[in-house]
Amino acid sequence: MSLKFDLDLPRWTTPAAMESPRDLGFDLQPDLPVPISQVGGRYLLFDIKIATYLRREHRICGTQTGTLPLAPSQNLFLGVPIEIMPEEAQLLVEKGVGFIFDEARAHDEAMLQSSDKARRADYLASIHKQSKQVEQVRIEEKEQSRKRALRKRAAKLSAAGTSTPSRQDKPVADLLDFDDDGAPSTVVPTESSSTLDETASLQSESTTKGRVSNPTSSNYHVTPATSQSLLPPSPPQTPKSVIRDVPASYPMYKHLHENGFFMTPGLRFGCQYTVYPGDPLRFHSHFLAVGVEWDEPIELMDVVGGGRLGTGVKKGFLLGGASPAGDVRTFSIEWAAM
Amino acid sequence: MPVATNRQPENVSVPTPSPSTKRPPRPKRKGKNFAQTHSKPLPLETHPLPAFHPSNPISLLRLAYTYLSHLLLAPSSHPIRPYSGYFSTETRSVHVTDPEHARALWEMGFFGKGTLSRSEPSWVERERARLMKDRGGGRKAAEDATKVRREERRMFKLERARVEAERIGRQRLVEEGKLDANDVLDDDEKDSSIEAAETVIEPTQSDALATDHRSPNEALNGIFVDEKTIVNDRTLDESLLQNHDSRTQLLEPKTDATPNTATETAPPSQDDTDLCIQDQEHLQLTLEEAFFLSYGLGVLNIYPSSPPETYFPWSIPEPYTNIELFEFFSQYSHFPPSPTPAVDPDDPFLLNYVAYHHFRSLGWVVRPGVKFGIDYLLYNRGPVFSHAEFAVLILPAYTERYWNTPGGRSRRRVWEQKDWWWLHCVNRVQSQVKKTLVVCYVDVPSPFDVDFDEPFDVGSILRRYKVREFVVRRWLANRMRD
Repeated sequence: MSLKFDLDLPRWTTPAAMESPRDLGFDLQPDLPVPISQVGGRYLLFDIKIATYLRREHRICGTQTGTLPLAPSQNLFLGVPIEIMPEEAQLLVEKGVGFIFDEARAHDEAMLQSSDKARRADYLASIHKQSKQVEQVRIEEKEQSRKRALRKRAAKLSAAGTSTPSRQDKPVADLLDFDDDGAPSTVVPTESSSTLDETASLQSESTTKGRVSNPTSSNYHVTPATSQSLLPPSPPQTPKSVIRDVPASYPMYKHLHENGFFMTPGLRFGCQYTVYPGDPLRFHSHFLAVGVEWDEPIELMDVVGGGRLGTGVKKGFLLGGASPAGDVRTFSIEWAAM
Repeated sequence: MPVATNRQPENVSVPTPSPSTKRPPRPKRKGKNFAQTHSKPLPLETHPLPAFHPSNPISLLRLAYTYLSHLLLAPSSHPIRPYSGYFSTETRSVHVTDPEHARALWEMGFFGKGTLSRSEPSWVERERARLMKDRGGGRKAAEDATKVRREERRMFKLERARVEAERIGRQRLVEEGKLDANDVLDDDEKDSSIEAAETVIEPTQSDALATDHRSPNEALNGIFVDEKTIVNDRTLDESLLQNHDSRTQLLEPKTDATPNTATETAPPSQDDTDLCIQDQEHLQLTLEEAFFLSYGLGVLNIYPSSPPETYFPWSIPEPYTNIELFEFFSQYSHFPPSPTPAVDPDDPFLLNYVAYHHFRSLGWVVRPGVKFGIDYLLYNRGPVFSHAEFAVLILPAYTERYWNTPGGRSRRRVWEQKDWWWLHCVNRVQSQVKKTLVVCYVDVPSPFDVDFDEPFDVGSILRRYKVREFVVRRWLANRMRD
């Protein structure tokens, strides 16, 4: 059974979406520039497919900051949204891969202040359609399980030798009706005989028309996980200077990124970035990078401490900065005799 | 009649030691008695009153006699002749060249550092040991333990790299399909056991090779060596034996000091009299240590390294006064040295000295901590007794209202904030070496309204500072549950 959804609607609300890896977005090539949300001064990615794409193609790893719905009471494993550093956001904007949008303002503009009633109506209708689709899938599931139970029961009866006809009627349906839904479940048995052997394609309105008695009586309310559908179709051009809190180590970050390194925030190690030669899941970091300005006086104690720290964890302590000419020089320090 | 004998009662059997079961006598520990050598915590002499025992009336007389004699003729707590040192402007430190003074300053309070040594001035002993290594039983200083450890570590790293390269080669062959995967697993297990052992390396051979290449005839820094002390024929077995002996005497080397290293005092043999090694190293005191000894304790005289221009050949050189030292040291704590003798309240020397004086007066042994990227290390009793417990980081705190005025803000020497990740870096380094990080805030007073051309009271300036300490520890809620 294949379900077709719009591209921006979340598919993972339905179990059927786990069928093929294509649905998880492993080979996704989204339309550039991809949206990067700015919430409370942080740059977040709410769409896991976009986060995967950035990690795969652009070496932007980010850190998970969201609670996993399947495992809420722990913070070892976290999920979306993925937070990216201001340097990473700046780099994506410069390359034209991403654009920044203020989440709160986007919501306001789309819902409250927008005078484009048609767009609002479209948005609400799409949400509603999503709910309906979820409901359809649920109904299909129940159908399938009911069919299976009936088949089993028929097999049992025939094996026992009795010839009582299997009654496809309400008692069976009521037994299998685990939900608290009122109207939809009673609708099912009347249509069950006609849809038992059919593959229900949800794009065909004939099956849905008969069921939808009341458009607002759906018991499934889907909250969209991303704000992509709220955004106007043509994203505005983000000026380069919109990201305010980019640190002074940005030239070194960009230089290392262009040379193929992956970088993650290095607070755990006492540095600005931990530099990996490949994906962090496959390698240990090679360097602990700290960005300094060209003419900034560096305390010798900091150099000694950083060198000792790096050597203690088998990494190099890297100092880097951009010269006035524009090229970036990096130096790594190691404790000589440890 | 009863006879007082040591005969045991018959029903109790006590094993009597027979000559065959006698335990061999424990070998006498040849190490230095550090408690005896470093019995005085500071280079001062204390004269406590004798104890009074109520049961012994003579003790009262003794006590009274001592008390009266102290009243009439108080014994001096200071040495008869103060120690002397030279202020070297090139190295911005005070040099103590007299070996007796250097030894006294090191033994009583752990002041200073030998220029050619790790901490304790031990160059002469190491040179003698190096030259006498073939004779066996040389004295081992801390630097030799370090050398052995570093060599071992280097060999271990080479071995590990070789094993790793082999493993990668095998894996590559497996991936190409040329090697069976089962064979690879066995080899990997063997490799991991080798790595876990970590003591496969034999440094004795490398040590022997190293000393073979060094010619004993070279004149090292003007060292005078007699011809008969040079030994040219030496078998490899003998050298291995010597090194093995040396290794059994050394305990597990530690990070900053080897407190239990047996710095042996070998009995003076005939060879010692043949060797005449001129001591090439001196004791180097930091500016804070020197000022503490001079101003705080009054046991050190600091002379200028180059005589002043009005120096007549028959006049005795004058040591610097405390005020001069105060000004010079504050000037030289900047680089390049500040041109005027006027002292800013947030000069690095002043901040460091205030913290140094504070911790010394509380009884800690304070040593410089550049090795760990922090300012001071605090020892309970000294580096030879235990490792440092605390690592002190000194930060100026501009809490007085003057420093928040526009004029004050421009006069601050330290005006940039330290980064959040920098604190994590320092903390992580200290956790690696099992020390506690202590952040020491020195409250800086407003600039001094003192005329630096006239004599002033150093104590009144120092009294205006305040020191606050905070212990910093990293705590993770989901990992530290106890």
